[in-house]
Amino acid sequence: MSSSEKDRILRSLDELFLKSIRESDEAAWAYLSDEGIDPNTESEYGKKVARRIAFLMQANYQQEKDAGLLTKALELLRAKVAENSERTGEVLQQLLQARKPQVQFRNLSEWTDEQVRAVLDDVDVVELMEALEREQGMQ
Amino acid sequence: MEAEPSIPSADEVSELWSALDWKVLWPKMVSHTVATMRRRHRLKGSNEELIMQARELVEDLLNKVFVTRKRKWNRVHYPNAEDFFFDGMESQVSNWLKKRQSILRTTVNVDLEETQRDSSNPADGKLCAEDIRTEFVEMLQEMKAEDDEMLIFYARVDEGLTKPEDIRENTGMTEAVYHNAVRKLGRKLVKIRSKLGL
Repeated sequence: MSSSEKDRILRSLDELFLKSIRESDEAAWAYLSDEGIDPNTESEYGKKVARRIAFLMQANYQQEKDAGLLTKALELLRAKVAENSERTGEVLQQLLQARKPQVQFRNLSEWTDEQVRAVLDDVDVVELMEALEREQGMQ
Repeated sequence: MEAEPSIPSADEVSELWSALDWKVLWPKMVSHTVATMRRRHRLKGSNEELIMQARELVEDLLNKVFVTRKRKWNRVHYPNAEDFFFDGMESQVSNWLKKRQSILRTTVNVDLEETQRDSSNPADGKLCAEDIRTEFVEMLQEMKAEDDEMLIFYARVDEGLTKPEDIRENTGMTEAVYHNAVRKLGRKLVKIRSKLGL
């Protein structure tokens, strides 16, 4: 009983110790030193990790942005196909001429999303969206 | 009733990342993680083992917050992002321990929930019987604890104060004096624990 009571006192004081590290940079650095860890070495290590995280964050952000753009392009393409399938096929063909001259964009309205996405992988989606918007302006 | 959560967008998370000084915050997070392992969970691995594990856990949390954004920062609950990180690290350590209980754990059958219940216990009355209190006071005095260390001990044990700001207000200590005293007291606690075989 008294042993668990003593343990409870120690734990409650240890919690103050933990809160002190949370609150104070100096207390945190001092504790590292007490544990035989060089705070400056840790700081340098932290800078390396920060660079790594920043790189991953940027890559992830770009990936999400690209995925969002692809979805928008797909929606726009679907809308344009519904309006004028033949003309939309021509726009796609122009953009893909150099890369896939053999592809024929007929019956676009019957293509599945996967088929359209496969084509969009080969297209600069921003350029495609601009071209489709231009078409709309000309009509 | 708790306010609606406020979850930042990807751009805001990115802004938060840029605003933080990682060469200061990283060592602080690692320090807090090692201290949580040692002081709350009583791990006795070598410094090298604990520091490697702490680094891994901190980096994992940062990945969850900033890269995959699986761990979302609720700004209403955590106006200060650092509190969000530190609470996140405490649960990282608990979860890691639950998964790997048998590896570094040295205290037999310490119940994690019990540990956390104790640590969050508001305990607004006296913590212990008079004879035990006297035993602690004598041990601290034998170790030449200074007045500020004793005041913190009394504020916690006699007054039941758990918040550092309340203890500072009660004792009239500045932040710097308080943290310095807690640090010295913390070292003595390790010796007392060892002496008591706890």
